[in-house]
Parts: sequence; structure tokens; C-alpha cells
Amino acid sequence: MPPKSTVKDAGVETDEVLQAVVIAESFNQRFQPLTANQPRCLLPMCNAPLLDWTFESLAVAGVHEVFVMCQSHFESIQQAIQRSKWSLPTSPLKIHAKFLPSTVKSFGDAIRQVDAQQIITGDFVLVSGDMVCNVRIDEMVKIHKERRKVDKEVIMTVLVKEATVGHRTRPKGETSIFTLDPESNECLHYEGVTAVPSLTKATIPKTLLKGRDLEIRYDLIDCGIDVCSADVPLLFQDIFHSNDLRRDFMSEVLTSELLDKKIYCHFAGNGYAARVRDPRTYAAISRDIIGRWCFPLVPDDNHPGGHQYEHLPGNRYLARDKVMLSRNCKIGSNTLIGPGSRLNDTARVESSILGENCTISGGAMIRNSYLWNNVVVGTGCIVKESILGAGVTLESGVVIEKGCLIGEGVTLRAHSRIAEFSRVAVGGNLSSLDGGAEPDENSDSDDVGDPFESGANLRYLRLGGTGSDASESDTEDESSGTEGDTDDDVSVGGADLKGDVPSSDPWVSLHWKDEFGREAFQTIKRGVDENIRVDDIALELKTLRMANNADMGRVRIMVVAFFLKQMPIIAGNSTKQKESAQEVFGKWGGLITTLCQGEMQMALQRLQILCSETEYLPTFGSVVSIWFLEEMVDEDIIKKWHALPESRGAEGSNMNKLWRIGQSMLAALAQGSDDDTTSEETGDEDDEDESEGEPDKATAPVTPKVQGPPTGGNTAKESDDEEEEEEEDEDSDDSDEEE
Amino acid sequence: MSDIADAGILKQVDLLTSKLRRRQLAGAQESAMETTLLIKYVVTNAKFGTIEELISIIKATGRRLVEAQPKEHTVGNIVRRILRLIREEWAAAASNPPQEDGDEEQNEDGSETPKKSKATLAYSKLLGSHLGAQASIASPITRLRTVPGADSQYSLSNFVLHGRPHRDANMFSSIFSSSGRTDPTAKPSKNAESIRPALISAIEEVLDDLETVFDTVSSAAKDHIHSDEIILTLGMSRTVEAFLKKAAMDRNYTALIAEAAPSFSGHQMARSLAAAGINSILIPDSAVYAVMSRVNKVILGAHAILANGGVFSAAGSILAAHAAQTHRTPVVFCAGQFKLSPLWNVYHAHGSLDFANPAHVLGFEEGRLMDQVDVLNPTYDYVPPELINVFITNDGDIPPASMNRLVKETYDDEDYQM
Repeated sequence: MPPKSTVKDAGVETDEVLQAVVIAESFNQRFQPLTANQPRCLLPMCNAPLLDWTFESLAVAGVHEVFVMCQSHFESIQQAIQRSKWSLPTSPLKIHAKFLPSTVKSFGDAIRQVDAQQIITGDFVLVSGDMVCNVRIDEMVKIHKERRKVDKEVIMTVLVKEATVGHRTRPKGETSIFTLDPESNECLHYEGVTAVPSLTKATIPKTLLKGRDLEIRYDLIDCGIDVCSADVPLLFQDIFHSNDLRRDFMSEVLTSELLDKKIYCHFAGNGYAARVRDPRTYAAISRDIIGRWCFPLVPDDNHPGGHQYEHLPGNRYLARDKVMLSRNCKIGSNTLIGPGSRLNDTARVESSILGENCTISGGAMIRNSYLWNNVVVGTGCIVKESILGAGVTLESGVVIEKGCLIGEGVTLRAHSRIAEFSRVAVGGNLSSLDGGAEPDENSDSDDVGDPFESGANLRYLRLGGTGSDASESDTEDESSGTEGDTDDDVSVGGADLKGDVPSSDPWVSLHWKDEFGREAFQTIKRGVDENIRVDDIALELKTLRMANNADMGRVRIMVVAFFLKQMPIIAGNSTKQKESAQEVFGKWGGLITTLCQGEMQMALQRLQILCSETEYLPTFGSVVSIWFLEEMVDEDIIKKWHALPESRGAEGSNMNKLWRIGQSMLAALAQGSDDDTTSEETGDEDDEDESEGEPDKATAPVTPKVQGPPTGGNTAKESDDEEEEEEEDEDSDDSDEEE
Repeated sequence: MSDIADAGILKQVDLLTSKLRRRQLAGAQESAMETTLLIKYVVTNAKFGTIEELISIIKATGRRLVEAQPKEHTVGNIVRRILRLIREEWAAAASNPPQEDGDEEQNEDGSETPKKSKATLAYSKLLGSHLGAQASIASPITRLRTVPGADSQYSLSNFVLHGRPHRDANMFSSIFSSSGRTDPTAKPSKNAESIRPALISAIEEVLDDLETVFDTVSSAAKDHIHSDEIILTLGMSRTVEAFLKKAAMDRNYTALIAEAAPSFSGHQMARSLAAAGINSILIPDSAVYAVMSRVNKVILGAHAILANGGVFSAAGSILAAHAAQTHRTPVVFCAGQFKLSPLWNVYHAHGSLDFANPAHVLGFEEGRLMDQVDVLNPTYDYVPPELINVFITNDGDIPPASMNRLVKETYDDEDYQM
């Protein structure tokens, strides 16, 4: 006799098949470089792919048919599904993988595809491929259907979970404010909130404030699980510009009087549901699973990957298969050790997750970290709060500071040191990797418009990131270099500024993604376009700088870069070149001097750096002489600049060449001290010399004269004069150099 | 270690395993019922030539179920119980018809592999009750070694001689069934198919037993509870609930119910008992010790009874048991025999306590707190045998020390490991 009815526990009306749509595409790159060779939904969470956790959650919820919408790495997702237990004939789920064409660039597009493919027959569950949940979604569906019986305009029920501000599982840079009707939990208004810029006021439409009770809640995690009626994909077609389900679609639906659709919230109560939105929530959800918050989805009981774990005191989970523990290794609490892993003498693992076949050598310490399969950690390594992709090898003595993401297959040489929040990957630089890895990623998707993907906001999404450093100077996001040697083919860069121009771009300052950067750029641009007075622009920029607590150095970097770019390059004709420089700086030079008061040597150095790195190399001489002519700089300033140790650059580098041009200019100034025209001509000649490629001849004899004593004298003087300011400048200058 | 070949059976097995994994099926009695139904389905639909084939299919089923949820002990217990019944039925079928059948059967056992000796064991049980007695006396020693197998010679000299108990089917059969294994001709395959109806009716009996287990356990309730006594219980146990209600028919007593945080199933229990007209008092768990001096008897329900006489029962039980011991108050566990498990818990396996969702202890929403505190919510406590006075089962009243014997009588040694 078959054990009672098999459909009984499905909990939904049996005449209807409950469908789920899984969007297995993230449309952002927060996990780079870990997602270079595999989609996010196949990243392991507690040693099982995220997609399996999603399927398990759906199976528990009594879903019958699942459509997985995927774009990047379509084949690997398809294969993963075929290989998994979900493809067995006994599987309760029927899974179809659907391919999203490359024109699909957002969540909204994906849902429009769902509509186009005509796969939905009724109410369905809409989730993303990276969720972990033990909520009875079928009950939610039931409630949704009951509401729909009463009111046809109910189109969506959104699952939310209560969690106070500061909760680890809250996506910090991506929270939301729900305005609810306290009686029915109808969602009346929705507002997405970024961490940066931080929101000080919530807006609620006036129409809501008409003699009714409102519940305005910021303590809800948006679990990313929605029960939608079949109208939702259709509506997405109508609201064609909506890209994000929440911020665009929900806001639009709720504010639109015309549509008159209703959305409800469903509280998860003691159930658990969360989405892996970024490395930070990845870590939080891992800890939640280890802490058994999504019981019965716990490793020792119902592991989606089919592993068998033994649960030991202190929430330690040991695989039952072939784990080798040395007698005096230490396993801290909240740890999961995958099958085939091996801990040698005195290895320590605390609050971490080890994948399959990991080897931790003696004396190594792993803390709050996530090691995926086949990671080898050498003796004496220290790994803090980081994610190490599959097959990473650390030779002895490597130190990985918190917040690092180490891509698949990276080998770090002995005694390397990886700075905080670095991202390390194999194969060329990260920028190319950014562009090529996920086809959905291109420049229009990260236009200035999406504050949720802005650099400063993404800081809050990093593993281990508190975001507390977000207001500090931007040294760190531009580059977090390594000390010690990494493999040759390993590149390190601050890819956590997703979509940012690669850090090697000298014009980076014109593309800053934070609020100040954008605003300042717009201000200058508008000023030039509309021909506003220099003083007014300067005033506006100063105010902006104050308001954002931005560094003076950044303003300087930006204006110099901006105006240099305004100037056309006229190759091989120094007179014409000078004329064009005259045109630009004659008019706007005042802005630079006003903004860089007293620190023109820094501006000069900035110019030097820019020229040395771009096609503006031959124009340096002309520009400097124009600056001199326009009285933006005087001899003293050029001397000061010349004395700065950073200005000199390495022997033979472009920096050094330009430094020598300056040097010869100084020499000329010293000779014809009172004759402007002479000095100008001298500078000019030098410039031409430079372009002819024999600067050494002209400058070599002068070098020893100027270099020694004045340098020392100048620095000493400066440090006396403006010690504090100087320090600040140096900080920002460091950052400039790293760019 | 054969596996299940039949797709239909496999599907049903997978269905139940996933239910067990997902805790959609929880609770000792419910799991036992579902398992029985599944095994019945297997016996009905499986294709088997010999009784060994059937047994190996059922074992494979049992293995999958137990792997899926080792914490629901009753699943394994029921499978073992049914295996035992199948062997008994088979032995009966083999011995009743012409004597040769039984001999052939034994012969097959002996010649092929010692693993297939359970029919002989069952057979020998039929031969004489004195054997049963002998076996049960000696069993504690053998169980200590937890070596699966039908130990034939329970003599101390043998034990010492071999260093460990071993199963020697030949010796066994040669001593107790002197008829000898000589005739290797006949095949009992037809018989195996033919006893299918008998097997199904045996399984149905198990099912009936399970359905009525609460009543049978409580049949002697009035002998245990006397008038004007104060009885302490903890949380919700349907066995205890039935037991107390039955006793209330003849006796007038007071029930103290500890609420069993964080599940607070005691509330439900108190409501139910009060509705039955029992003088009920609900107390917090922390008050258990304070009231113990007034309590005449502690009656608790078990999740699983282990072979050493220890018990897994609702979290909080160990607190009550210790308090009772201090006051020399008797501790009584009420449980159906299906909860009797041949496992030992000498080392107190942590995982078996089954830690559930901590959200019941500390709200998930308490962000800052839950990040810094590890919250545990064990479902069960392990109560060691020395804290228990007696078990009241549908098989009579049994002291913890005799649990071993009962295990031995209930299950076949060979099935301890599946």
C-alpha cells in the first residue's frame, strides 16, 4: 500500500501545479573574482551549491515545477541540475533550465522573458537562485490565493523577516523601508535604502496620510521570495523601464493610481529566509546555517549536497567521510569540516567552513573564513574573514587579512601578505575579468544612476566590512596592493568598486562613483559649458567639498584632470600647443589656483602624473610654461614641486623625464631670472628636446647641482611651515600614486 | 549490502526519507506508523525469490530510512521488529510442513554464509523456551561488545576462548537441532512467495499494536497511581497523557505539569488533562526542584529507550530525574515497546540530542545579541538508567537493567546494524 496520499502534504490545491521561477542571474558582480568561472548560484554554501539550497527550500514548500532562468554559465547550471538528485525520477521537483538571451540585462528583463516564454499558468513563486529558506511557502501561497479570491487586484505577496538594525543577516547596503497597513499587512509604500549616501528622511506619499494607521518599518529583511500572480510578468511588460523588482516595479505599482494593484507582506515568523546578496550576507547566512537557525535545513540532518555530518558540541560539524584530524589540531566552535579534509598538527580552525578535500598544514590559523573545495593552506598561514575559492593554494606563511576574496586556482607564494578587502584572481588584470566574466555586465548597467552598486555603498556589502571606513579617503578602494610576491599571473586590484574604471586609468578622478565625485564633476562641467564665473564655480566646489567632508586632494586631482582633458593635443608643434593651453588655462587657470591655494606644487605634481601616464606626455612643458606665464605658478612653486621626492620618479620613467624638463626649466629661470620671454623660450626648447628624445644631454650636467641640498632644505622648510596640512596631502598623494 | 531495484518501491522509500529529513514527519509514533506502512508496501510489492532476498530489500529500505533520520529511533526499531517477525513466520512455515523443509533451510544457512542464520535462530527459539531464557541471561555480556550476530554459545568459557562472541551457526544448529544439515536438494523459493500473506498479516498486527499502544501501555495505570498522590510530568507525551487519563478513571490525584520550555508543550498537556477533569497544576521548569519534595512519583514519556536502560526524552527530563533522585522520588517512564532501540548510548552522542531551531529560545530579530551568542535548543535529554526506577510498557513493567533482555527478545542480533 502506498503511504497515504502522496500529494497530501503539498498543502496546495491539488488541481493546480505550483510553479516557481528561479532567477539564477545576479546582474551584479559583487562576488568577483569568485564568479569568474561559475555562476553565483553554484557557489558553495556550507559545501552545497546555493542552487541546491534553493531547490530544497522549494521542495519543502511543496513546489512541483521549477523554471530556472539563467544567462551566464548556462551550460554549467544545466549540467549541475542534471547531475543533482533533483533529476532523479523520484525527485518531487520538475526542473527546467531556461536560457535568457544576452539582451536581458536586469531582473525586470528576466521577468519579461518569463512572460515571453509563456511558461506561467497561475500563481507562482518568484525567487532568486541564491536563497536559503525553511518557511512554508505553500502556506504563503494559500494565503495569497485566499486574498485573491476576495480581491483580484492583489498581485503579489512579499516575504519579510523581522530583524533589528545591526543584524548580521540584513544586507547592509541594500535595506528597505516598508510602509504597511497594520491590520492586513498590505504594503502601501516601499523605499529602497542604501548605506551610502545614507538616508535621513523617509518619504511617504501624502495620499497615504488620510486618517489611517500606518506602520513604517525598517526592521524587515526582504527575503527575496515573492508569491506572484500571473499578472506580474505582464505588468512588467507594461512598466517597461522597471529593472529592479523592488525599487522600480514595486514602487511604481504602489504609487500608481492607475494600476490600482495591491501587494501584501507576509511575515516569516520563526521561519528563516534570506538571500545571498553579497559576500557579507554570504558569511551571515553560513553562520545562520551552522547556528541551526534554518532548522531542519542543517548540515547534519538535511544537507542539500547529500553529505553526512556529525554534530558535535559547540556547533561543530564533522563530515563522516574520511576527515583526518591530527591529535593536536584545534577546531573552534561554529565550524564545518567537509569530507576528505585534513588538519595537521597544531592547525587551528575557528568559526570557519572547510570544503571537500581541504588540507590545513601545521600552525596555520583559519578564522571566520570560508574555504571551498581542495584548498591547501601551508604551514603558518593566517586567514581571517575571507573567502578562498576552489583549488586555492597558500604556500607557507601567507597572511590573508579580512575581507579578501581569492579566486579559483590562485597560488600565493610563501610569505605573501594580502591586504584587507583585496580580491585576487588568476589571469591578467581584474578589469578584463570584470568585463568578460559575466556577459550581462557592461558599461550602461553601471551608469551613475544606480546608487546600490556605487562604490561607497558596496563597501557595506563586503565580507567583514563594517562600512565604517567608507567616509575615509578613498585610498583603499582604488588599490589594495600586496606586499610580498604573488604569482606572476595573479593580479590584485580593488575590484570591489564594481563597475569602476580600472584603477590603472589616470582619468579615474573624472569617473568617481561616489556622490562627491559625481557632483563635483557635474559642477565643473556645467561651469565650463555655461561659462560661469570662476569664483562662483570655486565657491560651489568648496561647499560641495565641505558638505561631503571630502579631501582637498580630490578636488585638486579632479580639476587638473578635467582641464588638461579640455586641452587638445597638437603634436609636434609646440607653439600651437601652447596656444591651445593658453586658451584653456588662460581662462580657467584661476579656478585651479583658487582651489589649490598655497599648494600649487601639488597641482603641478598632479599634472606631471597625468601627463606621464597619458598621451599628454609631450605637452607637459607647454602647459607648465603657460601656467608660469599665467602666473598660476612661480619659480618658488616649481622649485617646491621639483623638490618633492615623489615628483622625481624612477630613473628612466616618464615621471623622471618630466621631472627633468622641470629641472631644465628651473635652470633656465635661474639664468634669465628677470626675463620672462627667455624662460619661456628655454622651456619651449627643452620641450622640443624632450620630444626629440635626447633630454639627457641637456639636463645631465645640471642634475647634481640642484638635486642635493635644495631638496633637503625645501622639505625641511615645508615641514616646519605646514606640518599638519602636509600630512594630509601626503596621504592623498599616496593614493594618487597608487591609482 | 544490496540496494533496492524496484523503481516503485524506491520512489516510496525516497518519499519517506525526504519527509523524515525535512521533519515533515516527526514524532516517535507517527514515524513508526509511516515506516510500518512503507514496509508493508515493500513486502506487498517486492519481487523476491527467497526469504533472504526479501530480508535484504527490507534491510536496504531500513538503512536508507535510518540514514535519513537517525534521530527518529522508532524507524529503525520498527524495521527490526518486522524483520524479526518475517523470520519467525518463515521459520514457522518451514517447520510446520514436513520436517525436511526446516532442515534444508538450516542447511542452506550453514553452508552459504553465517549471515543467513537467523532462520535457525528463530527456529531454535521455537524448539525450546529454555533456549530463550538461556540467551537472555547471557545477552548482556554479548551486547556489551555490540557485535552483530547470532551468538550461539553463551558460555563464559567460550567467550573467553574466542576473545569475543562470535556467531557460529554450525555449532548452534548442531547442538540444538541435531537433525543435521545433510540434504542440499530442495529450494524454498516457492515457499517464500507463499508466505507473503502471512507476512502482511503480521505487519498489520504491528500496525494495530502501534495504533492501540497508548491504551495498552496505560492498562495498568491504576496500579501505579494511587489516590491523593501528586504526580509530576513534563511536557507533552501522548503515552503519559493516556496513562494519566486512564488512572483518573479510578483515582483522584493531582498532576503537576512542567511546561517544558521552549516548546511549552506542557501547556497543551495541562489543557488536555484539565479537560479530563484531573486536578492539574502547570509549573515552570525551574520550579521542578522546589516542588519535588511534595511529589510522589515522576512520570515521563520517552522518545527512545536504549538497550542499556537509558532514555532519550524531552529536554528538561534530566532535570526532573535528578531532582527526583535527590528526594528519592520514583521516576517512571511510560513508553510503547516500539521505542525500544538496540542502540547504546554509553558515550552520550551529542548529535542525538537533536538540536532544533534556536529561534524558539532567542528571537532571530535580536540582531546584535544573536551575533554574539551561540543559542542552543536541544530537543531531547539523555536520562541514564541509574536515574530510572521502572519502565511501564505494553509488555509489562520492566526495570532498566532488564532492557537488555527485552532488546534481545524483540530483535534479531543480526539486524542491529542494517
